[in-house]
Amino acid sequence: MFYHLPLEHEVLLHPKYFGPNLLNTVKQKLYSEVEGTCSGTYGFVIAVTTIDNIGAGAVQPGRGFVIYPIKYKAIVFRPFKGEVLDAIITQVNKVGIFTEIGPMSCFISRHSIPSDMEFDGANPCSYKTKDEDLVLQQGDDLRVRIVGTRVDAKDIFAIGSLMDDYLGLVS
Amino acid sequence: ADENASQLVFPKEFDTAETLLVSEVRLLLEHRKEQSAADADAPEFGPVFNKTLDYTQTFSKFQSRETISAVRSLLTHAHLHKFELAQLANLCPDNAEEAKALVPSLDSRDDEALEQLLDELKTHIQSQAYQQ
Repeated sequence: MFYHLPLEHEVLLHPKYFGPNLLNTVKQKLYSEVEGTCSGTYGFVIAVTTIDNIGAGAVQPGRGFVIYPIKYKAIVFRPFKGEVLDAIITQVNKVGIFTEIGPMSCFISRHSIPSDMEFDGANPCSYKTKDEDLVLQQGDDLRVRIVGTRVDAKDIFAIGSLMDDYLGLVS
Repeated sequence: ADENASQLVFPKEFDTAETLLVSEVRLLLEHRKEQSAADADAPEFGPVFNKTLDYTQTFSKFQSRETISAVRSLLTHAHLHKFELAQLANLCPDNAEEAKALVPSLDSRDDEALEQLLDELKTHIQSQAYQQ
């Protein structure tokens, strides 16, 4: 789910930036330091939308660097267990289907794919029903339910399932 | 942790945050991209931004600001949890049965009222064909 979240960050500024362009440099550093990052708590930070407040800079004793506490808002993407999301298939093999949901990867194990679908190793690899009524292959859009997430250093990885009604290929 | 979207149990960090529709994120990211294109010094966007922009362009159901605003207004009047509101707009279920399967927290809702809401949602999508 995408959220508009208020967040906080501290920018550490080297004295070489002290000049008429200081605040602009602080803003640019905020963008480059938080955009594209990911945490288990907030999810993926996609883009900063507004900078609400740049606090007074505190000079670090003995160092000369200045810390600016910043309050800002950003678009984040955070998956939740139980949530249904649209995904794009990136790879199909005999252990399951690999998909991408925006910045995040989601894996659907073979055991979470309805049993009436079988793996077909012929190029291109796919999962298909016996009568070939439904074919799942690379590039297709799938509706997936998130059944678990794994947070790994700076990344979130999701595990999905196609087992419930109305999941699977998007018409 | 003990989060579960099916029962509307979310971490407290998201209590005060607004949910965003996929269509809204698309508009915001496209706007940001335009702003950046106008600035010669701006650095390139990373894979997180680009993948998200592609994704929202693929799955955005609503194109214009006006339609998105109308959809938000429609769904807000239905007194849904902000998570349910975004899910309905993002997934656009065809009928009450599908809506309840995809968004289990809607289970106790009246089918007729839900169907009416979904029909109005569909009208907004269909009217887009006439907007260009």
